[in-house]
Parts: sequence; C-alpha cells; structure tokens
Amino acid sequence: MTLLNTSQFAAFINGAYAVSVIFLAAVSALTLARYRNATRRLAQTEANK
Amino acid sequence: MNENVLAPSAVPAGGASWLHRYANPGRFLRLARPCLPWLAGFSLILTVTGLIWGYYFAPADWEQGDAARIMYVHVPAAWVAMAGYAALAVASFFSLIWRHPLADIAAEEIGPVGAGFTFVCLVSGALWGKPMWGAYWVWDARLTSVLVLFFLYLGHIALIRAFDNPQHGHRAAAILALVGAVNLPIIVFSVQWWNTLHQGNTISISGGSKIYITMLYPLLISSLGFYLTFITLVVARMSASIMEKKTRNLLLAAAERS
Repeated sequence: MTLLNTSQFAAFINGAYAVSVIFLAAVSALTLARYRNATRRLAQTEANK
Repeated sequence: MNENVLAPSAVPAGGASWLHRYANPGRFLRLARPCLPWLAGFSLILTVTGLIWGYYFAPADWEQGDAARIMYVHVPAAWVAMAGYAALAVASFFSLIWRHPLADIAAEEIGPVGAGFTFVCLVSGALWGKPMWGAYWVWDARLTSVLVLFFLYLGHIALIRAFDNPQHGHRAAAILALVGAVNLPIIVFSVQWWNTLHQGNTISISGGSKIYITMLYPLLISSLGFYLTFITLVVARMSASIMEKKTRNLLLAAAERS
C-alpha cells in the first residue's frame, strides 16, 4: 500500500481527492433529500385529493 | 408542463415512435423509480472501488510519481463533463424539434450536475498542474476550452431561469446548448491542433493506448463509477422534478375546485 503522506505531492493528491469526494457526497445527499421530499409531498397531496 | 405534445396524434409513426412513447414524463417516472436504487448501488461500488484502487494500490508513474494518482479523479470528471454536455445538447435538440417536456426536464437537470463535474475537473487539474508545471493555471488550449465548457454550463443554468415564461427559457437555453456543442470537438482535439502544455490523449478506443494496464483498470473503473453517478443523479433529479410538477398541478387543481 502506498503511504501518500510521505509523498512530496501529498497535499495536491489529497486535495484533488477531497474536492471530488466532497462534491460527490454533497451532490448525492442533496439529490437524495430532494427526491425523498418530492416523493413524500406527492404522496401527501394524492392522499388529500 | 406542456402535456399536449404527448397526445396520441402528436406521436409520429415510424422508427422514432418508440422514443416519443418513452418521452412521457409519467412513463419515465414509472420506469426510473425501480431502477434508481440499483443505479445508486452500482455507482457507489464502482466509484469507491476506482478511487481506493487509484489512491492506494495503483503504481506511481515513472515520471510524475504519486502525483499521477490525481488522474483517477481528474480524467473521469473530464469525461463525464464532456459526455454530460453532449447529453445536454441531445436533450436540447429534442426540445427544439419535438418540444418534448421530458427533454426540457432533462436539459434543466443535466446542467447543474454537469457544471459540478466540470468544476471538479478544473480544480483537480489545477492541483495536478502546480506540482508538474509549476502553475495552477495556464492559458493553454485544453484548459481554456474546458473553462469555456464550465461557463457554457453556467450560462445554460442561468438562461433557463431567466424568463418569466419557462418555455422561452428552455428554448433560449436549448439554442445556447446546441451552439456550445461546437466546443466539444475543440476540447478533444485541442491537444492535437495546438501546442499545449497539457499532455496529449493517452487513452484511445481504436487501440494504441499509452497507459499501462495496472493504471488503466482503476482508471476505467473510476470512470464507469463517475458515469453511473452522473446518470443516477440526473435520473433522480428528473424524477424529483416530475413529482414536484405533478404535486404543483394537483395543488392548483384542488385550489381551483375550492
């Protein structure tokens, strides 16, 4: 296993991975929240019809 | 949402009729909902596998050392950014020609996700450029054309919401997306047409890839993970958008009745 904290480029590599992982996690969480909210609101509206 | 175009009389006969049939938002929602958990699961498995493989287990490059590991996030993000814009252009074409409501929804939801992946590509590229070139940014043809792609995404997001009448917004944004598609071949061939600091194409579909197999596998898995993540996000956002419109229509109908 490569120990990236010993690499002279560690800050750049870790930064690139951090930006990617944070973006993917954040956009996935936001999309999931929006999808669940839309599903719940539609079910509520249809139930009250 | 304009549903009139989906009336049976509006569906043309012939080879494209299946496409029109599946362009119905209600049918799309019925198909998408059971697929979404599977898409999300495969996206997560492939992306995590690709990133861990690239970060920990792939070999360091003989010339760039460990800095080449940035490739496993930078290249997939760049490919998805371009493929996303191609999908945006196709959706815009269908929106302009056939006025499909689903094409408008697709274009609206692809924009922000594609812009996000382009941002990741630009930032990871800058973090790769500094240790290799000594600069975070250079006005190189490849870098500049990807920056233009990012601005095209932002322009599309802004334009689609810039009109009081949403139909006008979708039409103007579709024209921008189609005109902007000319940037895609410029990005791909920029490293051949101009002398660039950015390296040339390493992967070739027609053979002759200049990357060793131990680096190619994690790159392909990471790329497949990013592509699937993009598709999952867009399908989920489109489904949410359709449900939000449906809820709004039901509430409006209830308000009119009372």
